[in-house]
Amino acid sequence: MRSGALGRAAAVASAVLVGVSGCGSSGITKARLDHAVAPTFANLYVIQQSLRGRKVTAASLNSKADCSRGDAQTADSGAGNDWTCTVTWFNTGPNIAVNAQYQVHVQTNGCYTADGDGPVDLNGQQLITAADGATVTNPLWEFDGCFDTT
Amino acid sequence: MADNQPAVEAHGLVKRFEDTTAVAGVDLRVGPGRVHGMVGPNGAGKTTLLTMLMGLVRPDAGTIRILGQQGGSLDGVAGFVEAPRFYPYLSGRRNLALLADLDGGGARARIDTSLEVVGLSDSAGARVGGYSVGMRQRLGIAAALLRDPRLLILDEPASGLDPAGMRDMRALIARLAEDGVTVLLSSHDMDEVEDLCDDVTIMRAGQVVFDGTMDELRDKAPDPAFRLATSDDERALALAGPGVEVRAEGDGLLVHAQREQLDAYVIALGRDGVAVRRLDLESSALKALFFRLTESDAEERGVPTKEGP
Amino acid sequence: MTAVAERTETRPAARAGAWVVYRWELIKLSRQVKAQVVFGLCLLAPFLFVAALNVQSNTPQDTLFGRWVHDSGFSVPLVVLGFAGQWALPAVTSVVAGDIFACEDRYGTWKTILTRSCGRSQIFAGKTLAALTFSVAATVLLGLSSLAAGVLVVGRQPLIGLSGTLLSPGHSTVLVLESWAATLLPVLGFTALGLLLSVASRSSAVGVGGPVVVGLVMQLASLVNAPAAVRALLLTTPFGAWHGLFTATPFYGPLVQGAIVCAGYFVLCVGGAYALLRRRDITGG
Repeated sequence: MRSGALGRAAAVASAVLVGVSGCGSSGITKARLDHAVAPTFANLYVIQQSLRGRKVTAASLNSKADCSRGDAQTADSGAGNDWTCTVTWFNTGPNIAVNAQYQVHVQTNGCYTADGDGPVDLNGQQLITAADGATVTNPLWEFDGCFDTT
Repeated sequence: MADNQPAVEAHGLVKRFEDTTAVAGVDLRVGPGRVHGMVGPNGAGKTTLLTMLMGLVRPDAGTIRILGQQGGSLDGVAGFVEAPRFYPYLSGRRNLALLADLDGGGARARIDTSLEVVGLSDSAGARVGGYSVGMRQRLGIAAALLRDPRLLILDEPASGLDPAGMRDMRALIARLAEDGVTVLLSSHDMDEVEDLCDDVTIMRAGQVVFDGTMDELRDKAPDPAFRLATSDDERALALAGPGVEVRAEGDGLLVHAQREQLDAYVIALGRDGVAVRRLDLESSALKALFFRLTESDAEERGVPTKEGP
Repeated sequence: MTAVAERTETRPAARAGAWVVYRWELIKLSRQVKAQVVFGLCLLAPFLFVAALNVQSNTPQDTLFGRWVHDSGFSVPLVVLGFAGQWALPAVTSVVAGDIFACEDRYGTWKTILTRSCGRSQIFAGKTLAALTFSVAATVLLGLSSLAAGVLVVGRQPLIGLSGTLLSPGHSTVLVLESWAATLLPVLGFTALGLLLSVASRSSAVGVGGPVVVGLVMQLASLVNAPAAVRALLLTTPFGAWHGLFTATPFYGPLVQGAIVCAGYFVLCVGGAYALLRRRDITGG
């Protein structure tokens, strides 16, 4: 009798869970990653520049990210540590674009870790020297972020 | 509330566990103010019956009315089934306080009296984990008394007690009965039941094989049995007279006789030159009946169950 | 007449009965070593964690906010949360929930308490409530203690959020508390699972160990690239629902989804446990 009741409970559970799963969706996509990485980079760039004694605003950077996964054959979706992102922003004027590379590990829960892959001066060192001479963590060396996968 | 309303009235109780039938169609009636014994060998279904009366086990069939109430209400009922168990890491008094709170009402005010009645006042502060079996048994009674019961259900109340403890327990039950509490107790000891009970139900293999008053049971009882060893068993067998039934069993003789006939038989043996080397009571009259009822096959049962309430 | 009076006297009102059971369960818990140990660990572990971080320059970078543990005290409760959700919180909650029914089997005391004036429903309600109370208390304690450890030992520096923006100390505090509050949902789900296993198995080992194993298996399942639908149904997924609070434009989808999933687990597990206890024949012991 106990096992019967458990069996019924399990049946009801799976039915309800299948129903709930309808709310689930496509998960990790290129578009979502692009839109998460670009502003996060911009915000951290502002912090890095202010540490170095230079004042910029995130909006003026007009940053964009172009992420892709694996080689040309791999679909640009899903979790994995083989994502790469190229971030482009406008540093000194509207016409001078600058690039930075990141290796990105995206987890199944929509959180990612971006590991700087050049240029060295920007994201190649874990520690940088601030304007006041102190040694501080370089916010662009590696950074984390999350985006909505639901 | 009518005084003659039965304390327990059960009809057609059946309980099956997996592949065994523990109780196979039992009727039980316990009169108000009576001490009612339930006897039977282990596995006869006594405990299962009591757990059903206490609402712990749902019968597969049958009806139960307790103190006139149907539907598992335990108002006015208290007791324990199998050995009473408590939280070992709490003291005896704290265990009682917990149970009293579960009862509500005036139960908490009865803790001290209950402990006193069972003689546990001095050890009430100690953790139950350190109690002896007998102390736990007495704490079980105290826990039941908190409910100020009109019906007390006790499963083997004297089990695990030393002789002195057993005597105290019987005295306590007798005292409660005197105060008007109806007691339903189970036992596998016919002497205990004979000592305490007004009525008795004998169970065997999930069924009632006798139900009636103690006196009715005594009327049905066969002659008591004695074990006899003599210098010449063959002569002794030949000398058995009227009212004396003798047969060889093991390396001696088994004699069924009332005491007077037995005396005459022993004197006759001596007169005939047969020396009596040993004479022991093998089983009392009720024990002999009990064994006959519970060990024999169905056709030998011979004793009808009481009809109707 | 007297009999009727007696009867009403010895029966507590239904709701009062559940509260009496609840109160006694809390008293019993407070006397059990395991509950004291759990509370002690919840209180001290965050401080030990911060102390351990302070003696080394490395940071736990594989956990969100781990790279900031030396830079902002507010990262400490979030690292603890990310870490605890993996396995510690299911374990902490089931220590009590998985045992609260099975202990009556272990002590053989079902018969003792079920032959009083309290019904099975009241016993069930009181015990369930006590287990939930313990789980909430332990979670709140661990959360507050890790926030205190971070703020007191590391400091109240602004925290860099998950969109790279700086969050003020006040805002960070609010977000940390909200994150821990959101964690209560899966914690209560695991508590319910512990209760169900405790009733169904009648064994403390299964009741306490079961939710931990289930939590680990679900954690593993969520690491592989399972379909989003399967991920959404795991009871461990809501442990990460707070991430959305720390982005520049917060997203609440995982929280809503987590709340629905946790409520589903809760209702099924508690309902199943109740049905099992109602029908159970109390024998043996």
